[in-house]
Amino acid sequence: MAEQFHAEEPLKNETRQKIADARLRLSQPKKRRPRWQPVVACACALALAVGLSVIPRPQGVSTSASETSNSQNTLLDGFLLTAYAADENIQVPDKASHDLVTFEGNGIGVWNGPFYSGCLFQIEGPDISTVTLSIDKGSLYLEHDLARNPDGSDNSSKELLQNPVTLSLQEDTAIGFALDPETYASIPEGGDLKEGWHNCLDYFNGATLTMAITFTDGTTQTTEHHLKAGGLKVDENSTGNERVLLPVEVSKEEQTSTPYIYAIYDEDFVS
Amino acid sequence: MKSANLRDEAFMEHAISEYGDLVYRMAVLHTGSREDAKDVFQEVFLNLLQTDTPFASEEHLKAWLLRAVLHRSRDLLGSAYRRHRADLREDLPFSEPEDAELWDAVQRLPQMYRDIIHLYYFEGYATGEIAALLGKKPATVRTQMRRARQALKKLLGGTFDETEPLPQDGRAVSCRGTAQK
Repeated sequence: MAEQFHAEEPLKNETRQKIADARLRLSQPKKRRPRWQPVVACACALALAVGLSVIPRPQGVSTSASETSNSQNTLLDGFLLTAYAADENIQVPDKASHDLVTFEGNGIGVWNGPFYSGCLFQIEGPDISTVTLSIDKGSLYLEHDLARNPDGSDNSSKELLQNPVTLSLQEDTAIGFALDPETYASIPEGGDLKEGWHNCLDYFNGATLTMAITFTDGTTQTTEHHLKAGGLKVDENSTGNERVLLPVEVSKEEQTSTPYIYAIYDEDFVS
Repeated sequence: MKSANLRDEAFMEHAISEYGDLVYRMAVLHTGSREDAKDVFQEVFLNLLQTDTPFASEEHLKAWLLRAVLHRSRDLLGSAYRRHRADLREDLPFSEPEDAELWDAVQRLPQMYRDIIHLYYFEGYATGEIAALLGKKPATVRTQMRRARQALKKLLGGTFDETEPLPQDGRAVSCRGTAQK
């Protein structure tokens, strides 16, 4: 009975081609990301840190390395993670290829609704088919239509995602960390708005984000990101519009005197 | 995904040519769908390209491929995407009506019994070899085989001989149940 089932030549030939494609992709030398990866940051309604100022940026979305003068689109193992932001130029050191670093940005806490942190990232790669994401603490959301109105106001929409979720990547979207309404309601409000906001981001301390990327040749790559939340130091020698982020944590006590950006990031970024 | 040592072209061509039918057959029998079997087929050989398992013999390679088919088929069947699709189990064409009935009966067995039946009756492995392939104890495989054959007899309502002794070392003889109409 089972002898009737044969692998026909078209299937074998298609498989041979996929193997050849995979061999080519895996054999290419890995490009290194430039040491300083410029990322355009989004302004936050709350003060980000001592010494920072929010500078309105021109209309449009800009996150990729290709927009910077000396950068290269560097893809290690087929994909690249970039923090998304909109209004402020923040440079992230190229400490490791797949470290996830996101900064508090244009988030919002909805009364009796979800909390959208504004900590956003994008996954980029030429041959990505889908991405499956899951997080063991908190939730994820999708920021659609990353653009601004002519007057500079936000024109994006936010969508709380299922957990886990499988997405086809689109250009004008980014993925962010969120809290469902019930969790959001349980977070202490703190002494002021900034403390309350940071309490929400602190919820992601110890969370693990799992990312399974499926490429167009059918292969997959899975990475785990063990997250922390807290202040990351801004280089005090940063000038002008640029803020250079350092892989150095700033404690709550130090935040009163040290420029920082509150972030959700890979624990490997600061190790 | 590691980029390190990939299997060379000659090895991969040999594997596809020599064992492609086996891999596809197992995938069809395991997933019940030719489309799913194609996915499994390609996934298995792409994994083979990148595995650094040192194959001591052809039998070792064959066993690796069979295990890869089983694992990938289980992943596929258990995936959320798969669960949300309509049942794509096909009405696969068979030249003999009794083949279709046997196929249907085997597909209705619990998954773990199906694996053993496939490997024993369709691929000719003995129970000891099946145990090694599936990572089970030989006694467990023999017990499950007996239960699988009892279940097949019940499903086929015929003279499927569940009392046939199970060779532990030599190759099994291909066996068919005889369905009564």
